Amino acid sequence: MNWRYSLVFGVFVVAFLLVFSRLFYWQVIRAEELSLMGQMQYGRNIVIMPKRGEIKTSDGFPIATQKISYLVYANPKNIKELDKNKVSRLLSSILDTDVASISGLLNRNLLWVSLGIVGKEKKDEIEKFKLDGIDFEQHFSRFYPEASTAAHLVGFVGKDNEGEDKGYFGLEGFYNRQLRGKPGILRQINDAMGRPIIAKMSSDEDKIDGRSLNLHIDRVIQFIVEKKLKYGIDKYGASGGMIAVINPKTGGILAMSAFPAFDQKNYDEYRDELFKNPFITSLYEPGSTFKSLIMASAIDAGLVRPDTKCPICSAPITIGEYEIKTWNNKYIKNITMTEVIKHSDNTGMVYVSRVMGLKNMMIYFKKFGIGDITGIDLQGEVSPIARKNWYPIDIATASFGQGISMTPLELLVGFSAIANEGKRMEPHIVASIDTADGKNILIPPKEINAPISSRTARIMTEMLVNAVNNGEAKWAKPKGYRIAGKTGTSQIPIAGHYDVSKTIASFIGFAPADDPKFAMLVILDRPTTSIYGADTAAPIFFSIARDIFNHYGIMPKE
Amino acid sequence: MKRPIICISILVIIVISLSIVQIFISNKLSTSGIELAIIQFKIGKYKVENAILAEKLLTASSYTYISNKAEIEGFIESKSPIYISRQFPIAIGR
Repeated sequence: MNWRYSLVFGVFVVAFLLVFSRLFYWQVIRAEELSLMGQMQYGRNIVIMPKRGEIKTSDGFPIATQKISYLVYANPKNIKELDKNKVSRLLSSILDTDVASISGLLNRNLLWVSLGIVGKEKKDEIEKFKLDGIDFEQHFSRFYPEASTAAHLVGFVGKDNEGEDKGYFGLEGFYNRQLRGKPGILRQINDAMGRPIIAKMSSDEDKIDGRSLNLHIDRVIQFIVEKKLKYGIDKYGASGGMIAVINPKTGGILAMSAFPAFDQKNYDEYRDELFKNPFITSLYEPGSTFKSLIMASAIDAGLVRPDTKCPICSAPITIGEYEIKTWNNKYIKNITMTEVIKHSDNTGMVYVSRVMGLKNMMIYFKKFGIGDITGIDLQGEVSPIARKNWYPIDIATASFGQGISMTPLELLVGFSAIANEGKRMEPHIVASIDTADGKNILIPPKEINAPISSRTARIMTEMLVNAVNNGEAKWAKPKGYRIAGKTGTSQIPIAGHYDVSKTIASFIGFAPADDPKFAMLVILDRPTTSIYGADTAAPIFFSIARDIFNHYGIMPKE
Repeated sequence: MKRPIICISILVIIVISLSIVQIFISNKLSTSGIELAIIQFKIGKYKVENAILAEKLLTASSYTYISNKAEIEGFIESKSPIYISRQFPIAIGR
């Protein structure tokens, strides 16, 4: 009898074990696969696009941000043939497109056609008509509250090969990966009516909004620079111009502007060449502004002093078949180095170049970063190809900034070392980055090197203050302030010779001289009212400097 | 004999109660999707309104807009700033 009970018990145990193992197989081993199948049947994956990060000036104002817009699309097959003309006329008046274009799209044999992107007001206007076959898709599009201010600096957002947003040029290009963020997937389980169910399987994965950039750019200074540059280009009849303002102590760029510029919202209406920021991409011969770096180098090397007299400056200097003259054909016998800077005397600079020699000049070019990229955080920076052969005439002309090319930024960053006790700082537009989870990543100022000593920097500062107070541009200087600066008028090389009638007029300087808050380079391309920097670029510089003093609350002292 | 019956009865009552509670909660959850959809719709609507208002605010507080508006209203640029500083005394008593 007992063996029957045991047999029945054994059968039950085996049956139970079989059921258990099958359950284990389906609910543990194949669980993920079945869960996924269930989600695919009853759920849907929604791609959540991340919000692109903002670009903000130093006062926290976003000069590039996102705004809501709507893609208007049509399903031509859902629009009755008789209604297509009426719908085309209606939409063309709201979308500001010609009727023929809309009509052409609505008559295509497709299930989906894009009709354009509109804001909320126009979307509401279209929705009022309750048109069959017309619907909207919400988008985020890039929005620039200050319009095309700092266009070259910011860049623009276009599309990549896959139709996704991508930044081009400027900060949008350089920091594209940080700004764009990472899309996420929302898995939602729905009931038979398509309504969402609160269920464990719903999840929101991995969306990370883009990081935002906090710039050194001072919105007030940027506004002043743009306004004065536009005014200056008109007033002096120039083809274009550019200005940058830098904090010499930190390398932070306070403002940067160039014209002609472009509208970032409608970038496809402009030529590609306009997108490049000329301050970092165009090579030019700096002219007399470069004298400040050469003179500082010679003083730092102990080869000349401010009172050193030039023994060869009483007449033009002949080098081979060339003759080096001063800009005004006036020659001062035994001119001192201080006066060479004040009068912008080319013959005095030729003397300095001879005293320095090519080897020393090359050493100081390297120290000042001439011929190297500065490392600024903008897309597209270039540097010139180093010259291989230096002839005596090349060494002579390089001393007054001709026959040598550099980007305006290279010159400004090198020059700023004079304003910063001899220390050259790496230029930066971005001061810090805000992550999506609230962290702030600071980008600290970085000292590249010290091309000259602080003693040399002080000496050179005084020479440059003297040049401003007693030089050709003294008439435009704001009263009561010590400003260090140098004019520049460089001829433009064309097909192996120089154009005598057209120049690049410039002025470089920093202020207040005793505790510099800013250094600035102003460049006008081919001014026509006067070819000289003292008459064109210098007044613009001083006008901006006056406004910056007011902005910073710096009172006149003298 | 009585004790096992009581234990089994209590277990049965617990199982039945838990089943009723599970049915009740599942039923409630299954229709909560409607409320969830309404809440999600409202969130979306407020996000859109916020974004549109933020856009208007930024445009109105941009220097480009303020400068144009100031010009229309007749404001002019100050040519000569006036500095107010601490006055030096005319005479100092010993």
